[in-house]
Amino acid sequence: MKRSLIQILLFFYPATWRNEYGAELEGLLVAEPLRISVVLNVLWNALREQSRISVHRPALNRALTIMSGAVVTVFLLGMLASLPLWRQMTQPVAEALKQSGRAPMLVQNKPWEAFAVIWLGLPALVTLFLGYPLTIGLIRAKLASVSTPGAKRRGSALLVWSGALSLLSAFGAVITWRNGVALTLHGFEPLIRIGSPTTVSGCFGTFTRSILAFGITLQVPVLASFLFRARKTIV
Amino acid sequence: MGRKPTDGPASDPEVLILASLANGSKHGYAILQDIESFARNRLGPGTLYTAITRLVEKGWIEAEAVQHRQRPYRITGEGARHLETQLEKMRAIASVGLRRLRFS
Repeated sequence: MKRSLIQILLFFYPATWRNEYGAELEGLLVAEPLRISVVLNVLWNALREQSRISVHRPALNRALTIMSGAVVTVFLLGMLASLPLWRQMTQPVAEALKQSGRAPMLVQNKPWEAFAVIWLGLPALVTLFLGYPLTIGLIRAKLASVSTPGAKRRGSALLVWSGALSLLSAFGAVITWRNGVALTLHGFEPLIRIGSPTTVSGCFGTFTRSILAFGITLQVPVLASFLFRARKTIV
Repeated sequence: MGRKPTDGPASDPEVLILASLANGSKHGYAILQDIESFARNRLGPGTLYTAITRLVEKGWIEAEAVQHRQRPYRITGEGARHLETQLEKMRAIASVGLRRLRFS
């Protein structure tokens, strides 16, 4: 049990560091009582090593700069696309309201509700679903410089799957929404039965929950595969 | 975890490790025990190896051949000079502080 826990702790260090000092640190941890303060100390220093490896720091800084630029760009693009997206988003809701005999229009509870949803909420959602594959691409590029060829290949495959599935989940959520269906905790539900999106934020909230549910569900196999591989690596 | 302010000025893990290795090579566990005995400071295992990594990168200590899965480290000439400079600085600060306390 203690050995397994130590192996998990060592897993948080960069592979290059582990190859050099892992066996020594393991020996030290085996000899010491594994108190919570020791576990936290090891985790904290693993994090420092991950962020510190000096030879990779310029590449990491460059990656972070590119990533920040990409996030801002995607957010601005999201702002440009937000009005057409909002129209697409409200159409099925208006249809559902009409079918249930209510006025086919969304109301605002607060004066800034529509502004916040259209100019902040929607671009943020677009950034999340387009930015995630971009981030994945950058992590993949970072992997190329620090990992062994086998780990790089496996890591790359997982990342490509994860990025592709996030795009697929966004696509799936939009298609089902346009057909008047949202994914909720109870499964697929017609918008007419959910009944709640009569307000601007209610409509945006229902769509966001649906797209996130799609995203999380489709990431489950990737996460399971990652955990399985991680377990195989450390046991 | 990071260094606590209450640990005092002589709690820099790098200086403590260099001071520990000043009288001969030691492996990780021996360094921890030695530091605990002369500085009354218990370094975490993670802190110890992070500091060792930096000291090796700076060329202030170097690893010897592995013995029974443990690798002893020894201080280099450059490391000894750095340690001496640091200790001289500490001594200068300590002597000024003590003198001022006594004559205030």
